[in-house]
Amino acid sequence: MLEAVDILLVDDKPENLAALESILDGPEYRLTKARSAQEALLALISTDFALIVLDIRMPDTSGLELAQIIKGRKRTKDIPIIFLTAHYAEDEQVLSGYSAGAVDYLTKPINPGILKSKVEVFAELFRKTKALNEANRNLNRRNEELQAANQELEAFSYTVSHDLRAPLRHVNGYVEMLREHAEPTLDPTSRRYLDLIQQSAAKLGDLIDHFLGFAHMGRTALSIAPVNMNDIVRQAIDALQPETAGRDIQWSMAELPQVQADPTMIRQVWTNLLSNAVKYTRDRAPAHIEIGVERPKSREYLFYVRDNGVGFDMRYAGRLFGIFQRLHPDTQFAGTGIGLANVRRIIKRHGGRTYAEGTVNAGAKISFTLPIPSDLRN
Amino acid sequence: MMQQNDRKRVLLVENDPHDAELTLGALRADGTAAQVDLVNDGEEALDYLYRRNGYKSRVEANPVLIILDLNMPKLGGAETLQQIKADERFKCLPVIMLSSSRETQDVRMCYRLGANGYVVKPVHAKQFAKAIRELASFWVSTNEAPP
Repeated sequence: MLEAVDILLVDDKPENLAALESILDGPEYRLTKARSAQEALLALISTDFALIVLDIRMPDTSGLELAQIIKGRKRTKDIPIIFLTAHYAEDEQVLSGYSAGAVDYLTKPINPGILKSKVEVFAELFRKTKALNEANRNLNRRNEELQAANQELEAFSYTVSHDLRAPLRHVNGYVEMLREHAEPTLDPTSRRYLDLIQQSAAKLGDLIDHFLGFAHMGRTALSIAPVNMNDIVRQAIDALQPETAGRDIQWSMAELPQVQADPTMIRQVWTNLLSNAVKYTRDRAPAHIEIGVERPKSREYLFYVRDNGVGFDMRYAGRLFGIFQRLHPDTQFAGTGIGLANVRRIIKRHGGRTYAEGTVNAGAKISFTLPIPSDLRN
Repeated sequence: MMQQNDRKRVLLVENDPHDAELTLGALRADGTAAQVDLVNDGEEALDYLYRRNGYKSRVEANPVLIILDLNMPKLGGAETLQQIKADERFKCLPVIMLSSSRETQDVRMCYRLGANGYVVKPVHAKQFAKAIRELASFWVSTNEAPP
């Protein structure tokens, strides 16, 4: 059942109004009749009409003058009008002056079939516009709610992280001072306890710092620039020197294309992926770490880091990119479980996707895509 | 031998007693010639500088460095900084902000208000102590204080 829409019929002759009424009679329309411009304007104040059917020739204010008033008011200017004219040749000039679409005309005597179908079209347009506006309003409202919730969450996590740092700094500080103060009198067990407190506190500190970085990254605006991936990967590898020193690692790196991205964030992506590869190939000699690129579609690059490390069970691939998710016990491979979550977040913000493939004890391949701007797709 | 009163002074403005103790510990362990005066908030810092209220009888020279915590109740670090830098007599005194915030807006605000440095309090004790010692070493020993 269609929702009934309001239609305003304006004609100074009651018999004409009655004729219109009988043509348009039906549950899908609520008809309001006006016998003068005055009555019509009054009705327009209280009701949201889908359409006005208007006789051009009326004694007091002419139909055309009334139309001008309606089109001149912000509230009513978008209401479509169907003019009824008995003298089309005389009125043509004026009618063509109205903007197309919102105005139509019919010559008298009225052909009921044509009037019906024209009215139907306008009524349908009104219903659809109304539904669309409603949907838009809902979307806007939800969007605002989402944004507010997101901002609140970011602010909350940031504050919490900040507030956690102070007491942690104090724990660390006092342990250090206790160590200096009591060192000569401490037996090995007490020293071990102090070591453990310090290790745990350090671990908590890393967690908080990484979490802060994660929250911060979510709020920082992207600053897109051309990025030379070759340079950035080499720098990231150099920065891993402390972890790679003394290891037997065979690097292989393809020639990488330039991309459009936020350089700082993309550097972080490579640093995370490469340090993971270095970490999880710890027991391999030699370790193989391969950096490559594919172009599965004309509009994106797929970059990857492949290693021959401990790998992972594909059943858990979906958890790999979740925050604080870890597939290896901390005692085996230290970490906070934020690195890959950050990678995914950064890549998502760039309009790309992340993938993980792996086999237990046979290595992993972590990939990410980056879209290629349309003007650089050759 | 220098007399206690002749030593260069550092004014530490810190409302968190633990942070204050850790900072003092780091400065003491450093062995710099500096004497550290601790006040607990911005208002007390201004009283100290203007020699008013509890500091009417302060006779020592002004500090060569002010270490100012950003996050304090009552008169906050930023407001305190602003007032110090707005006064002709004190605007040349080096002020280093200490903060647990790495927020760009905080850092920018402090520099705009005339801070001479901004140090994020590290979580790790050794890094914290190192940061404080480096600070003191530069501003007390290396740097020529404003006359």
